[in-house]
Amino acid sequence: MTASFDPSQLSCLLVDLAGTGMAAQWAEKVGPDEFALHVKTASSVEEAQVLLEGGQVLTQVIFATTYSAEVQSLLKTFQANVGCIAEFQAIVCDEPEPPFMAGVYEFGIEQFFPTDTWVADVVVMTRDAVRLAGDDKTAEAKTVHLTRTIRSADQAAIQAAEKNLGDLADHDYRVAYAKGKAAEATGQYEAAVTAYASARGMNKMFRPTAASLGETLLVTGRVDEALKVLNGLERTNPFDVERKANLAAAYVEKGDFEMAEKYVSAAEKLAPMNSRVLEARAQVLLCTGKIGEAFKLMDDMSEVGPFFAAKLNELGIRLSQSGKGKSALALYQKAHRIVRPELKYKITMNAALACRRLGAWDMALKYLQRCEQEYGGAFPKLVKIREAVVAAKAQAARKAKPVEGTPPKGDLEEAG
Amino acid sequence: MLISPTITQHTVVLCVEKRERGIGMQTLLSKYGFRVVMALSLYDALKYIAQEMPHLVITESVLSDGSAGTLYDRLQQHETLKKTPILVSVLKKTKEELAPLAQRRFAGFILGPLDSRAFLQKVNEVITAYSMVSPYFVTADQASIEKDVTLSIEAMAMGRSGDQLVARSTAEVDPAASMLCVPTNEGLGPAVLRMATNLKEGEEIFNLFPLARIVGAGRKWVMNLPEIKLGEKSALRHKLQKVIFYDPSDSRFEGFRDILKGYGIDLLHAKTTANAAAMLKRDPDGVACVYLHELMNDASGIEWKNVYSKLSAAQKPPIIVGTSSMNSRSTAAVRYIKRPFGMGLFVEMLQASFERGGELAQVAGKAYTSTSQGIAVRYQAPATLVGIDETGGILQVKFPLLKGSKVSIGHKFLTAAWDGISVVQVTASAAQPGKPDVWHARFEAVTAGMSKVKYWDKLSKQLEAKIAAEQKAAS
Repeated sequence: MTASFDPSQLSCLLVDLAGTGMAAQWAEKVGPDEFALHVKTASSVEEAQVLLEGGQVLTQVIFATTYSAEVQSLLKTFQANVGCIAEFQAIVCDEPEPPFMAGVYEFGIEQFFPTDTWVADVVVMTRDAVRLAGDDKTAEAKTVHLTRTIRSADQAAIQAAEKNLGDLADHDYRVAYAKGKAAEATGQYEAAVTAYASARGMNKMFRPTAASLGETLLVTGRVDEALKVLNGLERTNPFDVERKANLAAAYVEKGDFEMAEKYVSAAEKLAPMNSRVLEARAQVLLCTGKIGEAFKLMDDMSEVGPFFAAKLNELGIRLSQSGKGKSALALYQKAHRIVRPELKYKITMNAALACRRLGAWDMALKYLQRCEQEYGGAFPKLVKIREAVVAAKAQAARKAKPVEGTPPKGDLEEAG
Repeated sequence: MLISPTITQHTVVLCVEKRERGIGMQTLLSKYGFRVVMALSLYDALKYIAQEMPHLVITESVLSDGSAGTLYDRLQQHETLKKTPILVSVLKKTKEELAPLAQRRFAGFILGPLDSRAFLQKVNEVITAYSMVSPYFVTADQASIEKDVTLSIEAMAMGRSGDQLVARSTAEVDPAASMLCVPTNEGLGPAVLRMATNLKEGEEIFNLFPLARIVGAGRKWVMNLPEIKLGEKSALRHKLQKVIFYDPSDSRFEGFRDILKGYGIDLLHAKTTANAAAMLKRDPDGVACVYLHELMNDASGIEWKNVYSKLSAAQKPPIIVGTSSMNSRSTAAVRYIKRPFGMGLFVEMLQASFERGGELAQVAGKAYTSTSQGIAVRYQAPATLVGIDETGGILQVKFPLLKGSKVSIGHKFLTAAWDGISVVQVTASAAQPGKPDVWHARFEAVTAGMSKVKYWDKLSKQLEAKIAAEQKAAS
């Protein structure tokens, strides 16, 4: 499997959030022979996200004067679709304020280009990016390849791409970080913690690793350790909304609702519609029994990560096991729409199990089929569940209809 | 290929009949960066031209012992020097002055008494047309010599101090440089080094590289290097980390203060450079570093420099100066940070500034006197040899090389021509306009150890012999 890319298929994305009109002037300033990539321009986050999610973007340049939810969304989308490679991204701004610098540094980004030289700077950045992405032995090429594979959510392909990293993860923090993301995507959270901790050991200044380490520690239930990491990050950048949301989530886990409320309120003041902030608020609501309100908030969420996805799975399992199968299915349906692609298969599998409890065999089999597609193939647990459903369906056909809420013998365990 | 014009200091031999007539031209040319050698006769002019191999000769039409025409004819007889452009100053259009100019291909003429603007314009025009680099300059292609070279700097990786790899080397390394650090022990892997900080103590040069930026298989041995234990004073400074922070914007200061506090760095606000100078004067020992948003060449800048220069070497804190210029090069004395900069870069630059060359030298002197301590390495980077001339040549690199650096260039032909020595000295470097990753560096073949003419004649002969041998082999 090769990790290199064909530059003729890739583009440099110029996103003009500041309304400078500079991105549009690109063609006047740079001849087609001087630039190795196609240039695509966007003037809104939505437009840019479509291009980023299309999988053809290699470098991103954002024109902005302040840190905003839009800038954050773009950087997140780039990170999820191209990779956490700070060298492939830049901000065009003459005199960024410290919170702006700190905000983009959460994504590792340190390249600010002045408005009078940005064209030459982008040409250089992109030339280097093309050279690095074009060589399948580089950390950058492997990182981009792995990130795209994670996006495809094909578990077998993710594992293969992770193997392809070789020993690079031992001496390149970006690769170690990507390895952590792959482990997260395949549900190996302990391995993800190890990878992030290793990346952090190599470069303690690279904030994405520390942020991911904090989140993954939270997923694995190591709340105190997570709090230590997250609080450390908060001290060096008190302006980050998502970290405040993560801190709120951690305090909910600790049962300290006062602190949770403090952080979630602070986050809401800064960015009330941020998906991660909504997650934290929904978690507070779920844990305080306000399920209906939490459900409402979920309509505005997207790209939900493993922690809240696990919380939703837990709740679904509880509902299903307590005989509220239909409610569980409604929850799974909503959860499936908002979680990251690589987490969808677990939701689908739990939905299949909820159907099995309901005795809805055909629906269970449909969910299992979708689960197989999302996973990128069959896996032992799925095969076992399918066999059980098929057997139960045959048995039910021979006997009378099963009664709702009475699971067949040999119950199977859901995915958390 | 356009070669950065600013990296060559042109030598001009000025040939005048009377010294007073030459003084004005000499002053003007010196002011604009030319090296001027004045000759008061044809005899002297020929002597100086042979010594200096100037890039331009400016001569009056009539000289005390000859004329511009004689000078031209004499140079034409010399195989090497005949390339030298000659600009003739004609004071009056008399027959006596104009006669020597006939039938000869001078590079240009200046008519009448000295008009500074017209004079400089003409000089630049001739330099650009005839000897932008040097009249003797030949490209690597023309000389049919290898273009790809590997730059290298010998160094000894000593250990780790704080979050920095400390190495002792023969050259300062530019912070913008990205170099491969290759241990001489082949069993150890290479590592990529970036963001150098240089410390100087007497003749000792220390290069510091943030550990966080080091990638590559060599990270393993880097992380296993011993911790360099510095004195109590250094430990205290690391703990305090007080930085005088000059920034005219209150909000920017407050933003930085809130963020850097989390990194254990305490900012003291100076609203003006004068404030910064006063604060430093008051308590130079309590300050680990000074950051100046900009350093103007005005009264405030002068005041700052006065205060700083009066401090003892031990009291002088490192200075980080924000700049928007591409060509401000960091040295051990002043570290420039190109604005706008990223947060991590700034934090790491501040952290590196808490190290002191004197303390490292002391430790290095105690524990690293022999080569058995530390790991011998070479910093390497690819470069392109653009061409060679009478003093050295021009290299193209992806990052700036610092003036005065001694680097080794792995070039088979040149090393043989220099009797096995490959070290050159960088005399200037500059970026290509509009191309931040194309830098030209002028180097001098420091080991040539002979006059320019002899050196160039020797090199020319070797080149001719090489070309002849290649032609023979091909036929």
